[in-house]
Amino acid sequence: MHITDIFLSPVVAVSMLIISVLVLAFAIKRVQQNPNEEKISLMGVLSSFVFILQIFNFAIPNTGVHGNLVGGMLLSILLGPYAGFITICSVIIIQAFFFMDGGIFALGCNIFNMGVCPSFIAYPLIYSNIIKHGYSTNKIYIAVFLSTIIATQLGTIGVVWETILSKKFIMPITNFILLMHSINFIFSIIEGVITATVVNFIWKVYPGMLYLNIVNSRVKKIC
Amino acid sequence: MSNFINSMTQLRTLDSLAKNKSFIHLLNPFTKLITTILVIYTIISFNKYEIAKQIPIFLYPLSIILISNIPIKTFFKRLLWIMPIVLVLLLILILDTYTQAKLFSFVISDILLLIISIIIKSILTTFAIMLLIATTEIERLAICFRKLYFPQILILQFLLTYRYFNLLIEEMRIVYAAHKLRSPKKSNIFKCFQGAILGQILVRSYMRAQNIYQAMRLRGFSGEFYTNKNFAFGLMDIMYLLFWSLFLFMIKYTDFMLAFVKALL
Repeated sequence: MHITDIFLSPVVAVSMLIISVLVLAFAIKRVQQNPNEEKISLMGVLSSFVFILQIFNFAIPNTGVHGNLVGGMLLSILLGPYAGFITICSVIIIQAFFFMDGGIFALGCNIFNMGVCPSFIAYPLIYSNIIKHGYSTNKIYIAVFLSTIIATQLGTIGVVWETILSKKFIMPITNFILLMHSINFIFSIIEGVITATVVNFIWKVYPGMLYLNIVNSRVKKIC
Repeated sequence: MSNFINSMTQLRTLDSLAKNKSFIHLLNPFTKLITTILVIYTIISFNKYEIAKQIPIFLYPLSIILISNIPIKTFFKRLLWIMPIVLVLLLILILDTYTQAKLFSFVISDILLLIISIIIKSILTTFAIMLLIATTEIERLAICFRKLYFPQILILQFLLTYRYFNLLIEEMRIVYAAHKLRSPKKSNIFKCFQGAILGQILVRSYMRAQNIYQAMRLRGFSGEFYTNKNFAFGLMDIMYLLFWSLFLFMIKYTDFMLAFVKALL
């Protein structure tokens, strides 16, 4: 899922960096409006968790391609879209500096593809809408699975267009789009299953960890 | 699992390398960060037909490796990551129509030129970032980001991710050992338990991380960084930055370095 420096032109890389920085500034402002001590340690643990998930690569047979999980949806579900976005940003920065996944110039593109798409598109439009009337195992599986697949596919669209706009690929556009979407679709299914299972487990064992705590909000309304 | 072990080893290796005391290590982190950004910008701004112009940039990683006494094998292991990209390119582009291109005095296909260009760019960008990390401690880098007005919460996350990493590994080891003791004859964890085990690792780590964070707060940690280290630009920093800026400018906008490489070949 990570796009690398070499597939980007300086114009595209810098433009995407400006967009991502603006979104990040907005997210930081929103998080600082409601500071939560407990959330900071949870953000640290979750970023390490996603960081470890991203280390595990999945090989696609007969293609030689390796891809990793994104983790953006998991972070948004447990931390909320703003804190989740900040956390995925820190993971992407560490990945770029320590494991050379992506790169310094590609940071803007990677933050947009792996952070903005799950946190600000898939989470509010799909996950929240399915979950807003309460949790159940089936609802969690459907909401998480759908939102993860859509977030990954949106991120893939981002990767494709950033590469095309950079004019760094001489492959036919249709082939490139098909290849990217099919590969990332497989990853999104794997990620969807992992995220849904983890979220379901947390809902059963420690529901306070979930950002959209429906039970608590109902109790507050009654009180 | 081997991926994971390799990544852990690499992280520890880079962490220990950053503690060396060479001329490069003692430079201001700002200087190294700006130089790295300039190097990467120069690399990605070349088009696929400018391979010969990119070759002199190899002098940058080579000279830094030599001066800072970093074992070169550390870097070569990491370079293996570009192999999948090359394989995919070979697989897909082989079907494309062949056009002729020129590299030095050799006539080669356009596809081969693209692949060579991607390999060179990948190696150079990987080297540039790895050298920055291998010669700069993470705390110094974090302070450098903070001085550049990066948001406090982002830097805090950056450091917590790095530090909680070991905590999470420890919890993973405990849970894995518990699983092995309960089912000694099973080599792998059943798929139906994998989600539960991941969730359990997450919940346990969260609880421990919360204790650690509260202990940090009780000791006066507010998220801000204080240091007595001098971050002012010295003469060596200015010289270093000027030298590499001039070097990159000559590579990008003049044919001086290209003529030099041609003369060597």
